[in-house]
Amino acid sequence: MAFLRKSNVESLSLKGEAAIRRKRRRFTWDDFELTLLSLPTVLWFIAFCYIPMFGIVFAFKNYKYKPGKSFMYSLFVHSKWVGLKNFKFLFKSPDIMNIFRNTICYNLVFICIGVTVPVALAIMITQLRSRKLAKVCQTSVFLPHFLSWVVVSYFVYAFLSTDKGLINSIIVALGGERIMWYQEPKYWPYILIFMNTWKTFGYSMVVYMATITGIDNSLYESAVIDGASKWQQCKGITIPLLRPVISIMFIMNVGNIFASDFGLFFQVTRDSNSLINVTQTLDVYVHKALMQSNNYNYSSAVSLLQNTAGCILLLIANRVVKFIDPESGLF
Amino acid sequence: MKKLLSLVLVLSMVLTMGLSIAQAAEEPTKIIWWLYAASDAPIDTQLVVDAANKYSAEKIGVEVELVFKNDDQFGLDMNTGVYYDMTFTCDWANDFVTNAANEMFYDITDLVKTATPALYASMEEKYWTNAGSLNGKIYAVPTLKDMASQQFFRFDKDRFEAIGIKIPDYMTFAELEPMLKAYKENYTDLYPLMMGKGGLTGMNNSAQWIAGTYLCSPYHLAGTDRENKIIPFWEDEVVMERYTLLSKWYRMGYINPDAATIESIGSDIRAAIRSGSAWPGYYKGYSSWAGINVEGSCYAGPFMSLATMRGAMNAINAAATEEQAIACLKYLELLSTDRTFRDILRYGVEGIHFNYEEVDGVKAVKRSEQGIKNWSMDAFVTGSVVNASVTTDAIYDWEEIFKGYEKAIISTLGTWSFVGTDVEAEMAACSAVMAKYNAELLTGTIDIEAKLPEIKAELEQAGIYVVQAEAQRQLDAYLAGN
Repeated sequence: MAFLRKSNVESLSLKGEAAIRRKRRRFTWDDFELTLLSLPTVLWFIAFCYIPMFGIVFAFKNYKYKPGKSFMYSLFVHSKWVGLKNFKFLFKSPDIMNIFRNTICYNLVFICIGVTVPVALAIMITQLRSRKLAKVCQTSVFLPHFLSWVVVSYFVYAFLSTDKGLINSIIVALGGERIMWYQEPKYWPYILIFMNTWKTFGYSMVVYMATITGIDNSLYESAVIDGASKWQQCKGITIPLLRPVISIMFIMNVGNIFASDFGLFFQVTRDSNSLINVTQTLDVYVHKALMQSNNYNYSSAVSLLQNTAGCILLLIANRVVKFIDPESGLF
Repeated sequence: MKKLLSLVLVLSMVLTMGLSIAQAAEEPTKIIWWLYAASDAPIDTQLVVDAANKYSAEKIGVEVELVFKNDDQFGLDMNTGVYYDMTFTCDWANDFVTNAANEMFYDITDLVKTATPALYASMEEKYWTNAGSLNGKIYAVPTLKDMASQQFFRFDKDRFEAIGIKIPDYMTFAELEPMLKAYKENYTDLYPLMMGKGGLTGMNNSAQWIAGTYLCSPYHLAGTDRENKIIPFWEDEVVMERYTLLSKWYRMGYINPDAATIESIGSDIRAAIRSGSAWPGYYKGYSSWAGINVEGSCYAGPFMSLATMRGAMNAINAAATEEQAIACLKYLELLSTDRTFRDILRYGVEGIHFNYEEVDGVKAVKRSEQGIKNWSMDAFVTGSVVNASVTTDAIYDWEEIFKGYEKAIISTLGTWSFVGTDVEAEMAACSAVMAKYNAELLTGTIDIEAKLPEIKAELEQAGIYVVQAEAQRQLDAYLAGN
């Protein structure tokens, strides 16, 4: 009996605490405003990220359209379940190891460069004395972000074309032999990494610059009074304060490690088959293998695999970052 | 007063309603027709459609809306349920067998005979039972055109004659080599055999392809002990000879070095040699279009198979009502039987896009500048090629072309079509392997002898022999049943 009473008391007190907590968390006017503010984003995510997720069922179905019926009816009622059969296709490819190697290795390089180059440049630009020059630099490195890969692929072609390309013209003028760029795989890892860096670092640089601008100036002032050099200020103030942003960018990039920029690997290389061993990533393979056969089942299966693996990696990366620095995790 | 006003209003309402109902009853049936377009829809589409609609509404009470689609759009739109009444389907785009097997098309087996007997009578029975049918049911109306496949080289006549080379009517693929050599020696700034990643158009049509460009049944084996065998491309001597020659020519500098990476060479380039599937006499009319004097020379064919007969067809949506289906058939019937109407969709509006002229007693079409520019497409796109007028620069008789088919090599595979649903994963993997090498094989960019073992090994791993066995099993079952 006594035992029972004791547990009752305990549960009562727990209830009391919960009540207090509930009271504290009551929905206030401020919350309402914030909710209202987040509404467009939430709706956007529901409309474009959550509702289309029913498409996952494609990966487990043998989709057949039934004439005269709606798309939904065809997908959910008319098409048959096939279990994991659609995933089989991916592992039939003799290139599968090569594809995974390309996808992951390129992304690892991109992540390393994506963390170092923009941070270094952001710090350098904020150190520029002339505000005007800083703005010009910032705008010019940001510009490529707005160009589509298709447009960029023509620029690259203008440089690398075998017959009339700029680089070959220079080589010939200097007495060298023409290089058939689009047939020589050995150059492409460098070209692709260079192009990707050129196009993307401006954007992440702006993110880092925004954070640097937000750092309290009094920190630098007191550092100067203590006689800290520029390098010491950077090492002691800027980089530690950038760490949370760097971690977030890093974790998000890790989540995308199985995805690749289709435009970069397909358009910029002009879909050249000679280069395929160094340019074929998962997305390019799916496009090439399925474009002709319109097989939505296989492509959904691959993208589901990509996303699941990406999600798991993202969770792992977050754990690792949190383990190293408990403050810097994404969630 | 008010009562009177309301009475007048009600009366006028009833009257207009009655009128509109009466109008609706007379309104022609409208059909949506999806057509194949290699690139963009022609500029003058609306102009031509208006003229055609006026004519067809009067004759058969049917109007049409033309929607041009390319290869990729067909696949997506067919599978997501965009509505159409009639669509282009064939062996090489918007695949007939896949769609018919998935019951996407209207079964017109009886309807075409009862509703449009003249259409049914407009072509030989075999085209209905072979090309337009699957499993004994008719699903599509074949377009009457060149029904066998014949491959031609098209030469820049003036330049070749200037260096003393006469273009023969018939030649072999290998006989091209001395011509390339002579051209290269005399016109040093140009590559004699310019091509894009697709290679020489029609070059691979000497075999009936069963799956992708890796499994085939070569026509030249008909009548030998190797007929009815489905083989990988490297076991076909003809295909391999061509790949080997191309690879040799590439190394000799006859082919442009970037062939495997450029999409195509563009129609504005004065290429010494182009190639394509055509029929005798076709290239006569080509000169005015190309802007240079050209001459065709046949290097393969004619071959006849289900694939060549299925070169262009039209099928009706399975979800269409019977009334719509009949309207579609009537429309095709008019195109196959009424030459004036056929010429509208083929050449455009008389007086704007073309004019009639009498040449050697034949009423022929002379196209205007606007016609060539703004209403130009492949002849088979808008219906029967045979029923259209010939052009003034290329007078030929279709009956003779069809007579020529009597000596065609006919595929021994009959009406058999490969249905690959059970080996889909293997086929997709094999296609992916071929996608890696196709452009290089077709342009000769790789040394085929050195590379073939690698290609073979990859295809084997992807499951080519599984696909081959399945296709052979289906074919043997079909042959045993006949």
